[in-house]
Order: sequence, then C-alpha cells, then structure tokens
Amino acid sequence: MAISVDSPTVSLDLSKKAGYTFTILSDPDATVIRRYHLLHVGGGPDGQDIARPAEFLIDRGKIVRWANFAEDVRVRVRADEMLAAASQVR
Amino acid sequence: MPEVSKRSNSAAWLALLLAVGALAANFAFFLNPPLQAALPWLSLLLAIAALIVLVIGLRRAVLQWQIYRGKVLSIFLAVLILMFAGASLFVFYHARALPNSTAAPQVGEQLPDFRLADASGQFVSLDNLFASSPNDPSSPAPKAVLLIFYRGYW
Repeated sequence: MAISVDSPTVSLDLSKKAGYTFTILSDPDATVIRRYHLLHVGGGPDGQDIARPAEFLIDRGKIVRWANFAEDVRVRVRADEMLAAASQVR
Repeated sequence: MPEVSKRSNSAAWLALLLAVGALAANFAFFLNPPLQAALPWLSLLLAIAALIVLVIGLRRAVLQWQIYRGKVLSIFLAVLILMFAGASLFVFYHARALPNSTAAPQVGEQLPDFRLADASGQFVSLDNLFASSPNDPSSPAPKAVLLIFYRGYW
C-alpha cells in the first residue's frame, strides 16, 4: 500500500487513472511520515514538506523484513526485488 | 593566394552530443531499463565529459581560429552545451538531495502503528491491512505487507 501527503481526493484520482488496486492512504500533515522519520523538508514542488521515497516490507508482527531508502528520486525499486523479498516472509 | 580551408570544430559538436546525451539519460528512467541504477552516473559522466570537450572546442575556436572555422557558431553551441550540461548537473544534484533517514525503521525493527484515511475516506490501520485484501474479502489474509512512501504531487 502507498502513503503520501496527497489528500484522499487526489489519491483516488491517481488510483483511478493508473488502475491501481492496492490501498492508498493519505497523510496530509505528514504525521505518520514524521513518526517514521521519513520527512523531506521542503522537498515538494513548491517547497512543501513531503515523504522521502522509501519502501518497507513487514510481516504480521509488523517487523521490517526488507527496507529500501531511495538515494535518487529517479531510480525506482525493481518489482522483482520486492517480490523476492516478499516470498521470503513466512 | 588560395585560402587554406579550415577544419570543422568537431569538438564543439561532440560536446553538444554529450550534453544532449546527459539530459536524455534523465528521460531514459521512464523506460525502466535493466541498469536503471547506473543512469544517474551515466548522466553525470556525460555532463562532465561535455564540459571538458567544450573547453577543448572553445580553445580551438578562439585561440586557433586560423585552423578551425566557425568561431561564432562555436560560441553559440557553447551556450547550448552549458545550458544542457548545467541542467543535467542541476537535476543530478536535486534528485539526490534527500535527507538521511538513519532514524527511520530498519530491518528487524517493529513499525509504529498509524490510522490514516484511504482514497474513499475510510480510516485504515496496519492491522486492517493484514485482515484481508480490501478488493477481495474472500482471499486469504496477507503474510506480508509492502508500505510504499512516495513523494506525491504527481
């Protein structure tokens, strides 16, 4: 599932346009982003505070089994890398 | 007396090609090529190479104008090259100007819980995500959940 500072309306629009089936959550005040220490101060197009790109794979105990913190906003994590990590979780 | 024909300033054109390549490398990300992670470095290398070749080209055009033709053209190309290479370097810097997240949850740590609204306004917590697939309640509960934090503002 995906989290950003976008409002639910924006996320729904994005989700419909892209045909996403996964859950998209909104964190407009970056409360959770801050709780996870992922805040990128002034990183938005008009200097807004946004999340730095990061992915976490967690198991039922909410323990992080795999994490990725993008060093470059242009480079995406490859799906096969994420799936390989997911297949390891029992 | 016949005029000695001057050589074309190929360095200026090569520099332009390199600078365009540096900028184009940024668009290549959208194609999601296999060695995508190497693209930032390729674009940096091409931009630096463009600037080096540009200096060579400008020296030839200005100091060796008797040998190389197109002094004015070279200066015009130099402006273009500086713009493209400069833009590439600017993008390189900003795409990587990310805060370090050493305080963020690492492998082995437990994620703090949350309650956030989904696209329809319903509140969702981490426990809800493990309950069952939101689109197919009859499917088995997930063993793992992938949380993707993204920048937004698309």
